[in-house]
Amino acid sequence: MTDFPTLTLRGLRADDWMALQPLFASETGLHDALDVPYVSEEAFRERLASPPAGMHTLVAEMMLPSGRERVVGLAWLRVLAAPRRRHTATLQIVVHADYRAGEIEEALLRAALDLADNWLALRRVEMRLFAGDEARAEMLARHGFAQEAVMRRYAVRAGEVVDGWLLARLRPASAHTPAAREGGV
Amino acid sequence: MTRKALRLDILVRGIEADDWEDIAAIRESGNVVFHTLQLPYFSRDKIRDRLENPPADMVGLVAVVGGIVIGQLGLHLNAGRRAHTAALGMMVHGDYQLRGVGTALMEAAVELAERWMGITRLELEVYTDNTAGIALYKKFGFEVEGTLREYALRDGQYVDSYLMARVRE
Repeated sequence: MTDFPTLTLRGLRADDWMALQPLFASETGLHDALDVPYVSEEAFRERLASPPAGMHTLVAEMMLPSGRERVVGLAWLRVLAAPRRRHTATLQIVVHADYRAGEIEEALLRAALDLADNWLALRRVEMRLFAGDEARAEMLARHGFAQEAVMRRYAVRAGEVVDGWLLARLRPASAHTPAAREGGV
Repeated sequence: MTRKALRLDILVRGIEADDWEDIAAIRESGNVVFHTLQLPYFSRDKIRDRLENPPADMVGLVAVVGGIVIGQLGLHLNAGRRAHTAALGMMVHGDYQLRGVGTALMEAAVELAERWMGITRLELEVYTDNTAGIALYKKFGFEVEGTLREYALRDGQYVDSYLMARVRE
């Protein structure tokens, strides 16, 4: 599933909240996601344990040189509940800033798109970024995402109201072929 | 709560649980299913249940003509770091379209959102071929921010929507 040898992608485990809560509360987490600081441990644990319907959670775990496993990222692929939008999912990825973050993020993205294309047969995957996140937008473009909208005054971040970018990827024509799956995207 | 007479015959007020039968009639009328995300063959029980148990993050307005509810507008209030934003959805009975009902609902919704709830970004999605809807939203300062491809399934086809927003500094 990934060419990143020390990285494992897997489903959520009950005790993952212990590693993920500090990730979402970290500077990177607050910068990239829409969480607020000072979230209670219990609220965060509950959020992971009782996801909304249609939510698929992927966790990236890395083997450190010490031999210890460490949770370093998460992807949430959420299939929309509205009956006429069930072909669409929103995707959110948050990764730890250390340890080759770009590669971890791309591995999570690849796995989420494999899930979307080959197991859920979705037609449309949406991602929302903060405006100006060029590096991430370029990485997403390599995987077929295109920018669709600039959302003005999208969300608050560290005292400022900032714009957002809406990107989406439509299911590629080749998505259903086994070759496309083996070769990644 | 706040009642407001607009033009001669359109009254805009907050939605009540008792409005559910009129709301069901709106959904059954004209091209309402076509232009919204609603399904045909909907359950009237579900509509009643939703009106009797409204979600806490929704504010609903209705337009009334001659004692009958002929239009509905919902504001979905976002939370947390998007608490200054709200998403808007509306529908007008097929027999009463293009007669100022949408304008009356939008006037009330914009006033409520901006002057009473401090909303600085109102957003909505509208199918790209809904010219009447788009014209109404533009009249209220909404701008197209982008085209969402294959946004929804409509009568066998995946169709695009515009993302539109009205933004106040």
